[in-house]
Amino acid sequence: MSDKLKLYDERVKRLKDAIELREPDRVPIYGLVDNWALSYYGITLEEALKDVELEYKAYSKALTDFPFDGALASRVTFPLNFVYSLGGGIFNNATETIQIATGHSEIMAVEEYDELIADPMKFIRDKILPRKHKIFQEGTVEEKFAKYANSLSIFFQFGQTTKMLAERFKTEHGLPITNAGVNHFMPGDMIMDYLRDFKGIMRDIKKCPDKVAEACMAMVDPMVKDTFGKMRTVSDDKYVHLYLHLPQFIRAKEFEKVYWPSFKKYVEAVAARGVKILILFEKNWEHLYEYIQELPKGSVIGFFEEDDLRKAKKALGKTMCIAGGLKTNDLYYGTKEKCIEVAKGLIDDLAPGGGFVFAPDKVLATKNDAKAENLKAVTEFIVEYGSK
Amino acid sequence: MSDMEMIFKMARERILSQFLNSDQEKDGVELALTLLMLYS
Repeated sequence: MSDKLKLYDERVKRLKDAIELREPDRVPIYGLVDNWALSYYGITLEEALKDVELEYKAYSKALTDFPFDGALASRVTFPLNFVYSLGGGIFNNATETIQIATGHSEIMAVEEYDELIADPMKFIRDKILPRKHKIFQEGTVEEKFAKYANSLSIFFQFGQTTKMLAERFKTEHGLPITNAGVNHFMPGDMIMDYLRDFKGIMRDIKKCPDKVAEACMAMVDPMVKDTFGKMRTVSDDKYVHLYLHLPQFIRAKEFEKVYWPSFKKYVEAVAARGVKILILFEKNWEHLYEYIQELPKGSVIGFFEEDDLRKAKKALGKTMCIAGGLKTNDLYYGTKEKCIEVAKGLIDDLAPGGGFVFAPDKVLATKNDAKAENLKAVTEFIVEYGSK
Repeated sequence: MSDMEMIFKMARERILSQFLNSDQEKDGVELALTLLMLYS
């Protein structure tokens, strides 16, 4: 076995031990890196989208200059060329990140909940997609199909090159890219971000919470089917990735009614097949710990953005691996010494007994999310100090 | 049949069938594309 493959297996095991709530040989470090890789290397998003080899060079440098044990993605995380081929998409193209342009997602009427509930994928395909994407709006069916066929070729190419790049990270760098190609939002997030927008769903939760809850439950089965359509085999190095947006805005009782049942059902279905789930719990989730502590034990690695990780570990540490800890604010504006001091405290308090992974508090998306010298100093410190 | 249903049917017959054998695989790709286009 090559040195790189041995290194790969060590890293996979290190993360697996942490997620399964055992103490690994040292504290794992997760590369929560997105478009920051591009500014670190010195290229733009546009340049990366035109040249896969350049994109790989940028992500290789960003993910191997630091001793990460696993990483979010091998490339720009969303197939933007595919999105552009559909006629534009909902992302804010003025930024160097993948941010949804706000205020443009209310494309489903509140009266359409029953249709969504009856058959979510048929409703999305027949009603929502033509409203969203220019290629489905004008011309004959054959003309629309021709444009869609072009988009499909871009989609398949993206899928193939993404698999190839992950394999290169394995064989050339011994680095697990944990993204199995299953990047989901929970049904509540999907309704907010892509169907009703923020104002719409906040109104719906007050005025027709039963409909919202029912719609969320109706979407679970297609999402589970999609998950296992993509993950034909289960392996320790590939996780489902979930990004949770809505709960930060709603109260616990609203969460319990509309969001939690479908979230729990999906996670349980995935965990039951032995798949690990990486969840970005955005903003603060302290008011919801009584719920998420019921998630399947030893299956989830939870990245907490604004929570006090010591409180999170106390409440949730018997259920899930807690990840995060270093604020991007400190990583960019702080000193190396401050970053190391924070890391030391986290290791002292959270590492004993296992179930902790070190990472920044949020995905590194822009240049201002981290200074390389701070990231290098703190990750190298953890390799030394975080070992048994 | 809606335009979108027709477009998906054409894609299934003319493109997906070229490299996918089972209906289950084709269903899977259609589902993945539907969700991806929703997220786009």
